[in-house]
Amino acid sequence: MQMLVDALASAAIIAPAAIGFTLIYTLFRYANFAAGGFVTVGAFAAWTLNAFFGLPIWLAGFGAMAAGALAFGLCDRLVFRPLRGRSGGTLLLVSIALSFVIENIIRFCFGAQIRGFDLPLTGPIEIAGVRVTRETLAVVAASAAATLSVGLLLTATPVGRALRAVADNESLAQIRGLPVPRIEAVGVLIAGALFGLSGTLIGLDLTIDPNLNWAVTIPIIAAAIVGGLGSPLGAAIGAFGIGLAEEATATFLTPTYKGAVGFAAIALVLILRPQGLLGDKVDRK
Amino acid sequence: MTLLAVRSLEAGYGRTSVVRGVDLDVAQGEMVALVGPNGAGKSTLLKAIAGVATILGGTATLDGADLVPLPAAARAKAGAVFMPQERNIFRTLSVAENLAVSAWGRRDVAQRRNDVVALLPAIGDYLHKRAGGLSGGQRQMVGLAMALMARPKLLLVDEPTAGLSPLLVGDMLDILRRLAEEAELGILIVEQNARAALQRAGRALVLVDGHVVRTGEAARLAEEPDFGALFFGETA
Repeated sequence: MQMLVDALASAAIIAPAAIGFTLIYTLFRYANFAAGGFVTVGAFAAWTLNAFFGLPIWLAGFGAMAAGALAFGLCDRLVFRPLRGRSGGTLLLVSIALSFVIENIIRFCFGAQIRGFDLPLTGPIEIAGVRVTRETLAVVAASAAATLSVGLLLTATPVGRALRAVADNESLAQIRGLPVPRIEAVGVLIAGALFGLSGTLIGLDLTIDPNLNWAVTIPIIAAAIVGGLGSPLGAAIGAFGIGLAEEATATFLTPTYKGAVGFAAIALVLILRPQGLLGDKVDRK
Repeated sequence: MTLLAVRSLEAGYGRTSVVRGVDLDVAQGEMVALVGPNGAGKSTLLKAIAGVATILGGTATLDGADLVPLPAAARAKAGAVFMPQERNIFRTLSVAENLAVSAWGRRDVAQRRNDVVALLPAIGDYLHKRAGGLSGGQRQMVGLAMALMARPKLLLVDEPTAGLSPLLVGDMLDILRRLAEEAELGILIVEQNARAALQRAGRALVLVDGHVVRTGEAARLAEEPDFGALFFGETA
């Protein structure tokens, strides 16, 4: 039971970013390996607002979402948009390069020091024999709220329907009169905000480390692939699967192998079920 | 009243010209068929008017307004709405969602949907199904309904019967003719089932190698002794 709660906390951290990753994949057909970089931007933005400017953590979280949206929006405008139409492989390589640039900018601005939010110290509470901190509860609640909000936005609003339509068939969306570049920009901002939220949640549950980038990128991508690329709900479920596998590895093997779980999950899914849990069926070539 | 007026139109992809010097008119409430052999430039002509292929020269006006400088989305807003031959639905959306996004930016989406369902009642049976799971005929019907959600003045229809069973071919073309007559739409249709299209269209143009080689009343064209030769591109 304790392991399930810990898995839920791990899942809650990466779920928003995995949804952002899959949103970008469905819109532009490339795997954005800079996702972890934008999560780190969110984490440091939240730390700056909370620890440096003294804002309450919830407000710092919204600020981090805005910072993530701004950073990703800017990078999309300057880096990815000029390359639209290039192959997914090209954009993937560009995103890897961008992630290193972001990582080094963060190190340049904030140094190599590990940081934490300015929060009052609280002890864990015990519910039915399971120990859980208030921060963990907040992380799970914020992540669930974000996942539900994005789900509602995509299914029950005109903008969400338009986003799904553009992701499905961009040329038809243009023919049908949809303002495709504006809709794509909305998708980029939503994904950036989700990266920023994941950054805040990481800071709440763990620590804020300038080397966060690759430590979160692989679980984010693994969650999106396990859930099925293109399915936001799948990304959330995939995040839980990855969280559970990570906690099981730490409990029954050794925490050293926790980092390998994402790689193993990607390999297994690609071999056994390439479309993931909820993705559309793909043809093997 | 002339709705679409095309004069000396040159069009193609990049700098390659596929359509050369085409003149054509479509009046309100009229269905005009574009027939000809494969590779004649029929679909390219339709796409050029819709803003999907490049216009390299000449003019195209809708109700007197110049279409040439407008991008595809603006031409759709102006009333020239294109129904592509393939991939003409959003597969991952429900039929109702397909209709809703096709009226993007309009406040009367529900009213438009009711109007379209009144015109194409069969749609009502599968309104809440995922569009990707429908049969070929149902998909074409949804593609047509999506085009109608924009309340077009001119419908540019590219091979609406492609992949349909022979029974459904006639049904689809009858629906288009009825739309032209009842909804006062101008329809320019490219159709591989040339004889079936000519039976229903008012006028027709035969396009060969990017040029209009014959034009006139559709029913008469179909009965001309050299029609088969024209359709298969043997102009001699």
